[in-house]
Amino acid sequence: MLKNNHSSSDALGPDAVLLQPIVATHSAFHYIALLLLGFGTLGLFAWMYQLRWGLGETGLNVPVYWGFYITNFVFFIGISHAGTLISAILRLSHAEWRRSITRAAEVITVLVLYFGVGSVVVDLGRPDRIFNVLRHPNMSSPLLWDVCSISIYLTASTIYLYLPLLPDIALLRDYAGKYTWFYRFLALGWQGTERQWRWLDRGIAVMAVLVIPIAISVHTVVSWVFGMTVQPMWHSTIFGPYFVVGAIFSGIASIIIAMALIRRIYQLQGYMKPIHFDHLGTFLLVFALLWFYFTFAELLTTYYGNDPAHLVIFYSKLTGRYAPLFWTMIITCFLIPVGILGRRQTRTVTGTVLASLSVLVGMWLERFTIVVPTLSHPRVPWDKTFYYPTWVEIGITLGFGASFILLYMLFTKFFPIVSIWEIREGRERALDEVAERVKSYLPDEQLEGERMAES
Amino acid sequence: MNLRVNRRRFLRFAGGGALGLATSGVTVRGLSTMNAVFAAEEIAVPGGPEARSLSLCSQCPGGCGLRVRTIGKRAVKIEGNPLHPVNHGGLCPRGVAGLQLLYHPDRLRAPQKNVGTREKPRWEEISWEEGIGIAAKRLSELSERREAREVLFVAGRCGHLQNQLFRGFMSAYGSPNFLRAPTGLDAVQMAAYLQQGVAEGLAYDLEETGYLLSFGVNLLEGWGSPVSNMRAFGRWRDSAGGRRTKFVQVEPRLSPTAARADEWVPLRPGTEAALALGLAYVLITEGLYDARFVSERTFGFDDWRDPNGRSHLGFRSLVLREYRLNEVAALTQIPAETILRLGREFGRNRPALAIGGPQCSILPGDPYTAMAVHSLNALMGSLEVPGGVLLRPELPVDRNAVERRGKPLGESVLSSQDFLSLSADLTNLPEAIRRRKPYPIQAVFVHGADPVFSLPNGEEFGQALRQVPFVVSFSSFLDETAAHADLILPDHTDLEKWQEAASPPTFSRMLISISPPVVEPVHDTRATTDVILQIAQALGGETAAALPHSNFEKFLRAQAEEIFANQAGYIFTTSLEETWNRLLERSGWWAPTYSTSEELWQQIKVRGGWWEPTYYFGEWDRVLQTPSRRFEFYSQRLGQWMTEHSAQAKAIGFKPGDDRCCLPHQPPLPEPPSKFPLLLLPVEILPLAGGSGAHLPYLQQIAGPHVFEHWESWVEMNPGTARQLGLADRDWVWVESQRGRVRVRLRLYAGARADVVHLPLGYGRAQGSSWGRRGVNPLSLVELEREPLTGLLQTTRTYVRVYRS
Amino acid sequence: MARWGMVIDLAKCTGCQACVVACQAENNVTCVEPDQAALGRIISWLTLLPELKGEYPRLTMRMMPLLCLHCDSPPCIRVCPVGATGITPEGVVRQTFSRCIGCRYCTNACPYTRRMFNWYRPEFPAELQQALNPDVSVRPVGVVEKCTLCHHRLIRAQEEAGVEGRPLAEGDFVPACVEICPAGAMYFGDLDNPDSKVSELARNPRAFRYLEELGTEPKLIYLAEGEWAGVEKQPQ
Repeated sequence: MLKNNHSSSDALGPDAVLLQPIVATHSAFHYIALLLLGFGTLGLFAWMYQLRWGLGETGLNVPVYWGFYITNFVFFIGISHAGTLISAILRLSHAEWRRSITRAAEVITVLVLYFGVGSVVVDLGRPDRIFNVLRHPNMSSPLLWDVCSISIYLTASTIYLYLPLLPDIALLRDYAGKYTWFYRFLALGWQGTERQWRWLDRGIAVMAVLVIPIAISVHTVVSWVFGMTVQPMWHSTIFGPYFVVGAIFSGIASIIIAMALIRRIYQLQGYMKPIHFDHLGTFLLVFALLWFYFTFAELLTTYYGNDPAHLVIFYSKLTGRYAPLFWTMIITCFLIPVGILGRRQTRTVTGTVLASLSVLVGMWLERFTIVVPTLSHPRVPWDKTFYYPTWVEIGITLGFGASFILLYMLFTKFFPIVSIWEIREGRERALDEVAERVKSYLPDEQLEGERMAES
Repeated sequence: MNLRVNRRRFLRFAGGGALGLATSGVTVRGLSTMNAVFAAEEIAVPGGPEARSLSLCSQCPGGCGLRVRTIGKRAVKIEGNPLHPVNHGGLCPRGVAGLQLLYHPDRLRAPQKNVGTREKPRWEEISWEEGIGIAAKRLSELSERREAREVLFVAGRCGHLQNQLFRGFMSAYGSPNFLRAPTGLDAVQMAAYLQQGVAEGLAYDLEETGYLLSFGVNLLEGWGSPVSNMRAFGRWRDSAGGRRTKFVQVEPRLSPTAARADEWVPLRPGTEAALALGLAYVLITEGLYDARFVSERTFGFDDWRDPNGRSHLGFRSLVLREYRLNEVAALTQIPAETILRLGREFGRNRPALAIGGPQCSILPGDPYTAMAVHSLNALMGSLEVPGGVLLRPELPVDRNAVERRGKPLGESVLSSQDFLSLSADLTNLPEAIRRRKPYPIQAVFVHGADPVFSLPNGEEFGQALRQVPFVVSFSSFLDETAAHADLILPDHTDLEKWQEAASPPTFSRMLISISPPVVEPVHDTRATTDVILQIAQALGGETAAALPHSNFEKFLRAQAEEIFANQAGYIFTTSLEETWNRLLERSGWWAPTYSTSEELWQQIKVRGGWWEPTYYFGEWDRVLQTPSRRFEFYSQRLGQWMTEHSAQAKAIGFKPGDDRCCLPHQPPLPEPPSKFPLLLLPVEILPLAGGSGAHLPYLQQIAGPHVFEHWESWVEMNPGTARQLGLADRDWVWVESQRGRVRVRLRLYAGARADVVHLPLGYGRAQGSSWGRRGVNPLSLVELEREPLTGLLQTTRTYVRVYRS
Repeated sequence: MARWGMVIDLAKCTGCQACVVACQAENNVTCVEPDQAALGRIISWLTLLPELKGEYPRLTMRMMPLLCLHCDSPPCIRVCPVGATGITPEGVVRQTFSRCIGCRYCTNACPYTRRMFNWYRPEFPAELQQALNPDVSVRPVGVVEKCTLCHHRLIRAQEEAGVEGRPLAEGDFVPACVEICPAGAMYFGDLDNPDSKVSELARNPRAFRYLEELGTEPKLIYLAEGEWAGVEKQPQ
């Protein structure tokens, strides 16, 4: 219940709708939250079960030692590239259409990283010994590089989410009418002074620059978990850039879906307009093409290399046991997105959302078809292998997914999912700034006038 | 950034920070609790004083010496005894797995009495006094009623002196019915009997041979003395030895043995005799055979005339007439060039040795094939030479054996047989029991054998047991046969009892191993030898008088006197000392390390046994005991028997008076019945060889490495055949013969011939440990066909069809 | 200091798998239940792997006992995040069960698939626990294990040599697999001693290092199957 209804709508004006989710909660929210909590609890139960009895409760075996969990790990870390990277790149390139997107994207990053790390912890045989990683680190291990870079990324992303959130927290402190102590605590005494704005702008700018190499390093290092082994179709020099491209690809898709959901549920059609989806859809298209380029290059090189150990895996993906998953991946990661996003007419809100859903499915399959086929075909003579996930793995995966969505929903209940101050900044200042910028690209009018005068 | 800090804000920060730390403390606490739970579950293995003691493995007749490492009272590792002449410190996987036998969770822990019915047994644990009492009472009742001969003892895997003890017990008690379980060497020994006149002790000097032709013998998978064979194999391939012995495996399937051979000859199943005689053809026509040996030491090579003036076919004429290269090539489906080459190689690489025909440790082959193969040895003069066929001398302990002191016992229950056999064939027992002729059987004792499981007519055997009023099993586990018993008096396992073994099959030297127990009994079991001695004492009278020893140790000690009296041989020593001893012996000296029987006894216990390392070649009187005192290509004994059993000649497929039934020849091949196109050849795999071993996890885990199979039965089929039948690898299929069908997983194996499928023996138990109760028993499918001469059940002529389940 | 290496002569190997079982017995390796075995979770430090080539009847099958090759440049030790595996000064690739967090990176890095994982707590029926070797720790759930070259025997031998005041001699310690081989196909010794049997055999023309093109520098060297030389002149 808004305490000071009139004053807030006066203060926020047309942007009052952005505070609605915090102010009022629909009953549907509760039902959905309960459902998600149910899945989350299922996941937690599955993990407790696995903790007690051991990883034997999964479908993993010799030699398929990694399966769903590591796939999820790479997938979640991949999605984490959405927010921070996109938001940082858009900020640095002064893309004005970013204003309603950045917060939603940054939240994805911060939340999903925990589930990425959670996926690895769930995969450990002895999570009770996890502090050995800090006590006895082996610096030559790519997994340890992962620990470092993901920690840094998490810290940086949290800061990068928090800084632009400060003015909005202050807004909530002043106008929300509830949880005032909470907002006051988090607002850190923000008053919107000149000096504070200057510091904030500088902070955001610095973080935006820092976050990009950190983000790139994260997924590069994740890819090197595979790339630094000698296993066929893992030991590929292309893996670093390939995984980064794939990460951004799946990240953009997840932003689109998040945005579409927020838009529909919270009635934010005014802020997330078809043009936003059009732009993001174009991004998605570019990355679909880029992803396909890398995939094609990888497969062609393997095929030409003719190394028997590689070809066994190659054919298992293209025509063998993993062919259904592989070709579904090609269809959902490339054919469908390019089909939908390649034409202006279909690059609508619905179109981009469908393409994004397709991409998310495809990218998960892509991770799976990288991890499992290589492990399924050892170099040494072996019987036919197989891997079928059990309820524990599926439960934990669903639990993670549900918990992520739930936490995201909770965030929207406490913080505005669209950056209010940036919208206002855009409305008030951006037009002029952009006009100035465009003018600076064109020949200067004064000089033009002088020349004309001369002639 | 203007951060206004005041007391309230600071306290909030501090409070929040403390809460955060506490929750992370909870996490850390949670982790360390979990850590503690896992640590508490770790098994701590107690230590103790360490010792190494000797024992013997009796899981197969191979007779390997063991060296057991004990920690306190526990046996923790079984290794080979480096001094033992049979295995020299090596072991097969079954030997090592013996620990799982000793500490098996499903062992019988005490004597059991069946208080239910035979159809639905209910087992109750009883005391040893009661158990022995029941058995002694029944035996004494039968003896009083003068029905002692109606008691039967089946002995399978047991040591030589144990065997002697049981046989002696039976004869002292008054029963002639002491039966052994069939072994893979039955047909081969029959061939030796017919051609050399010797009924036991056939041996092969594998280590020294220059060329080995193996006709379907699973040399490296459980035949004869497996570890000894493996050691010989290693020697053949030792580059340090300078020469490499060629090992040729003649077998339709690419078995692990065939895969390890220098050459694999994939002949048509059942045609081994033809191939052997085809090789004889090459040897004869190319003049590669040992003409001197043939003329001096053989009989029946050339056509001959008997005292009545009748002329008889000679071996040479038979071979030259009927086993010409092209015909043999067509029959065996081996190219003539290969047969020619093999024959030439065999002829030019001496000493050359031929072993076979196809057999496995529990299933005998067929005698005519064995004769054909053995004839090759005679052609090459490979008898009584290093690397050839030898004959183990009579063991000193056999000369005055207990049984000889018994009284005449009358005919055995299996004596009225129409077959030629060296000893009673256990597979004939079910019919004898059923017919109650010549007399009924009232009691059966079974030790070291599981006939209901391991005989081809095991089911029949089980039904016959139902008609026997009193059945006693000495098995350590509730196996298929024990499930039909009234009383189970479980034996100790190897390491818990006084162990003893003599020369294993195919071993040419006299050898007696004796070892004291290594560990205390784990359960309330007793060594069957002790139990028999106790029963003998309980029976009193002549039986007790014949077996005065109160336990097996004393019995063995008495045998040591016989060994000492032999005044030859040595305690097991290192190979260096052994070489020296042999040198001495050849010069006629004997320098033992003992001077009294007591010293001998003590040294035997410490080193593992006694043996005679020197083989005295050329004792022809001992080795050739045929009527002609020569190796007989034409077996006169067989001729004699044929005259007395003229109907048999017809059964074998010849007219009475046809000489070929006394000569080696290729038996007729069976015709596949319509609708059953594939031949089923059961195969013996080393880990489960002999039918036991399925209840040991170590062995189940390594059962079928060539098809990546473990723990479950599988059927091997050629990939091309499978494709034709529309079957894929790992499909569940029915394998059906005219006798029944089983459901099993199909594995494609390129080593299987197109028209043959293979099922591994040893699976398919329904009783006993759950670890063993899995898979299917191929013996439930085989046609119960008896070889016409010896009556041995043949298991290689069953036809099946395979279709998806 | 010795550099321990092993040679397996594939010509002499009979494929009996005594080495496989001896390793299990010596090192307290559990036998997993049959349903776990069907899922592909057998723990086997030493496995006999078949390699079939051809079609009936022109067919060969090579049976190769494969255990940890104790590479001098092991791909596995580099990737362990906690240093639970490493290489000792004598060249043994050790596995520290108490530190392993069970991430299974090393199992995936090994190109020979020689590392095993405890999917459940290794169980031994109470009776069979009596057969456990006190020199080797029984692993807990969730850790990786692999061949240790019977390192416990090496420690024992070193202690005994120390007590007797002499350096460790080559025959003092032999892994369980080498000890049990009935055909004498396995050799073990110091590769840094040019006169040892393993060094001599390592120079044999039949010697090959499995998958050496991956740069692992294995210290388990195989001698390829040889051939019968042909018809030999027999002494008359």
